[in-house]
Amino acid sequence: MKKMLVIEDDDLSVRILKLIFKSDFEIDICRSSQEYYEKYCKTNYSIIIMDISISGNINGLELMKQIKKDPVYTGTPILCLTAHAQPQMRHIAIEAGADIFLTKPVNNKILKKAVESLL
Amino acid sequence: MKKLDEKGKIGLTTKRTKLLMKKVFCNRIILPSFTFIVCLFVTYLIWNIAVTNRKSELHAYLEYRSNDVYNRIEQRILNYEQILRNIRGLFYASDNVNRREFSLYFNSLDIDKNYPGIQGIGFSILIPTNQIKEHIADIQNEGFSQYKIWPEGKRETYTSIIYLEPFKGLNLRAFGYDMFSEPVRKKAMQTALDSNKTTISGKVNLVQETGNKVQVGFLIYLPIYKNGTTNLTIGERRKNIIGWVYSPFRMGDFMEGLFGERGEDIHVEIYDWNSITNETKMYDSKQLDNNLDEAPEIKKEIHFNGNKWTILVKYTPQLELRMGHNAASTIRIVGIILSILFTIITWLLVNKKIYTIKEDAKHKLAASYLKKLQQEQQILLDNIPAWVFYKDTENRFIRVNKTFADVMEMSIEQLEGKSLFDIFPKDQAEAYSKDDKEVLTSSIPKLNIIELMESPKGNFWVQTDKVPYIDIEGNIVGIIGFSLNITDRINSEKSLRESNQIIKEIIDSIPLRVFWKDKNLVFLGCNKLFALDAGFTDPKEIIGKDDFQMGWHNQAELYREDDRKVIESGQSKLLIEEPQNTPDGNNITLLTSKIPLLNSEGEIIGVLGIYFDISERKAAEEELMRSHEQLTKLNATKDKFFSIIAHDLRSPFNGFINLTELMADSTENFSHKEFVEHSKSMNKAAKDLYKLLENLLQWAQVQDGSIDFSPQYFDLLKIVSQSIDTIYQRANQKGITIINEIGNSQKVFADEKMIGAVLRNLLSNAVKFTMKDGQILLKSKRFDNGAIEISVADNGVGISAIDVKRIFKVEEKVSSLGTEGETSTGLGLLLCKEFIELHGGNIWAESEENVGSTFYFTLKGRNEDENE
Repeated sequence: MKKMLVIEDDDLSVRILKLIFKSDFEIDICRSSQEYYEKYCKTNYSIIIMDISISGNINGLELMKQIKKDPVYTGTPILCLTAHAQPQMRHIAIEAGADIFLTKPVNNKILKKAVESLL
Repeated sequence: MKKLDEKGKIGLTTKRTKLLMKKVFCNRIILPSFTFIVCLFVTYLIWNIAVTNRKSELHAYLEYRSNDVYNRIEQRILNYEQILRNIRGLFYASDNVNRREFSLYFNSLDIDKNYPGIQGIGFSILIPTNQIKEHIADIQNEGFSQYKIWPEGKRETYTSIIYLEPFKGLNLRAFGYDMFSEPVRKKAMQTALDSNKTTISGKVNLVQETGNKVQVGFLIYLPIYKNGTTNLTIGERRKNIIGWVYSPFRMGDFMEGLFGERGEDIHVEIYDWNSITNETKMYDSKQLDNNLDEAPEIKKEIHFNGNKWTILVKYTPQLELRMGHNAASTIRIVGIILSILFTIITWLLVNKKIYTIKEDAKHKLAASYLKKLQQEQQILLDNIPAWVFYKDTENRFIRVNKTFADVMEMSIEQLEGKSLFDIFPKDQAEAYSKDDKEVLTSSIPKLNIIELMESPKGNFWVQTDKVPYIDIEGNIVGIIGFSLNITDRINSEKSLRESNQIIKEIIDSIPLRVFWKDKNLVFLGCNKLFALDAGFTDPKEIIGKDDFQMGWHNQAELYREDDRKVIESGQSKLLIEEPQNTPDGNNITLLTSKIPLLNSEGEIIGVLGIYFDISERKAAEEELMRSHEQLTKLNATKDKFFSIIAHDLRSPFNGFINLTELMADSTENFSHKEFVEHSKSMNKAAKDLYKLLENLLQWAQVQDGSIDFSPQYFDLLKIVSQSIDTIYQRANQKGITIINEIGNSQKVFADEKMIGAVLRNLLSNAVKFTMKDGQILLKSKRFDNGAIEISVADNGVGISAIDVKRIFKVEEKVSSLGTEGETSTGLGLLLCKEFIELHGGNIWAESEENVGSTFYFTLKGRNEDENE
């Protein structure tokens, strides 16, 4: 089973992602940047879904850049799912390394399709 | 000693005499007067001698002339006597001389040509009384039928003129006249008869005389006797007398031509016998109109047989002339003139008016040179374009030049001698006279008097110099004046001054600072505003100074650098923004423009600058910029804040929508347990969302000022206790101890609700970020000024140094999960900050990671007096 990393600190969002993707992916939930470096940075994931606003020392964008630099994740697609709906945010997120940028609230089916398209 | 005294005395006396002499002779009046008197006296003496000489000379001459007259008369008489003798010779040579013979003989004498004055020659016969009738008959027989002896009458003896040649004209009247009938004639005839000599009668009227021109006359008789010249005694002569040849003379005719060409220069009168009366006057040459008694005269008697004439020869002015010039009158005139001359010379010598004769030539040369010089001076004076005059001490013009005379429309001669008051209006003349008096009394020249002069040619502004005229002896005798017509200059100065004044007014009134400097960057001038900026009151004070002496000496180099660039390049420097220190210590900003200052030839002679004080504008601009920046920043802050808020609002809705959708789509897939969990999760999200919204609403109210802010006194402890109560349960769950050290009766003046909210926030945070069994400590600290500081300290996870700086910033909205995953809106501290700042207090945090955090806030105290 493919592995998915969800970097998200909102409980409700985590629950929903779990509900959507639990049948297809083995899902790890990371709630802060610190937690990422502590537990998940060595694991090879097929896909990473992450928010821009996360707890921790660095925000989602910064974390995204670092993940992209990491040779382990060179080929790992990142789906950026965030409530930051400003148009420029899309550009910033793509620049930082996101492969797909979706804003909340997002249709479940669209989200699923988007993940499928990345694999 | 005695000798010496005497010597001294003598010396003294001599000296005195000398002094006296000197005084007398050198006196300016005495010596000339003395000279005059002496000269006149000498003149008088010489004149007197000359007069005496003249008199005797005159007398001698008159004597000579009278002798001459005498001789001439005598000579003439002798001549006529000779004629008569010749006629008598005829009678003696022939016994009977008839009328024809007599006539022939007479004609042969050519009497008319040779003997002037003679009327004729006649023969008067003595007729014995008894032979009268025969005689008349004889004559009548000769053919003279009218002949008679006249005047008629019986007389003792008769005579009759029987021959008279020339026998014509008036002489015919004498024919037959008995001369014996008239006493004067008879006497002469008797005398002639008795003496046998020619005899001249006294004054008679000739019978020939008729009409107006009656001349006196006389007759000369010569007796004719029988037997010729032999009758020696008077008796024989009387016995033998036949008759008389005679000649009648008109006295005037007789005298005519007697004196030849010199006849007119003497006056001759002849009187019969020796009495000088009009009756006896026989002749008057009429050379003197009035008989001048005082005229010198010579009286001579000329004796004839039986008669004598008195001849008076008198002086006439003609005689004087003939004598030649009268030396006396010449002497008199010359003498007087010489006296005057001597006197003048003496006076001049005494008064040192002339030089010695030796120097005279030199002096004359100098005089002619001087004259030439004077003429040249006059030409020079007349041609200089100034009015030159010389006045005496009484305001009268003594000498003027032509230019001056012309402007007064008079000739130089007309003007000279005129008074100031004659040619100028009274007030003007008085003003001039006042200056003159000043110069005359002080003898100091008065220069550059500017005054108005009215003249027939108009009014002029003149600049006059007045100098005292001092003669050789040092006396001030007048004023020399020199006036220049400066009307044009005054007028142009006036208009220049006016336009300068206008320019000055303009540059002083424009709201600009204006200044100009020379090439050495020294101020040449400025306007009033500039002077005030520089710390002076009058623009004049700035002239000659440079920027280092101004209030802005700190900026002097900055300004001068620009000045130099403008002067060197000739290019203007416009709108330079530069600082300036004002004299009162302010810093202002100037907007300066500098342009090269050109002279009329277009050469750069300095720099002209203007500037505005744009401090206020600048400050306003800066304020605007600052507020703009602030606003921009605020906007950015809010943008960022709202993007975060938007995210925080969206996120839960994402959960609600998707989860509810999933739950609705596939209810059968959810276990009951799952259902409960999802519902709890959604409930919590909804609560958080509500809290967020509530905080957001409060925050918005604070932002737009619509939040209800009503401070009042309340007991701090009460609020603290209430706040602790709200989080007590949660703290208790985590085993956290809350220690309140805030004492009783701590009254604060604040909005109770806000302070409560702040305390709840801080306590809630402290509980969130404190581990199990941690501790929270509340404290308060009162300051002297009444302010109070309240602190909430925990021994929790602490905050990183970076985050401590971010937690109160809107744009940095930080939210972290609590130690047990507690959520937060991230707006709590922002609201705390707003509330505390609304009270005028401060809020801040001190923290160390893994040690704990302490949050402080302060509230301003209030004076107790103001409390109630």
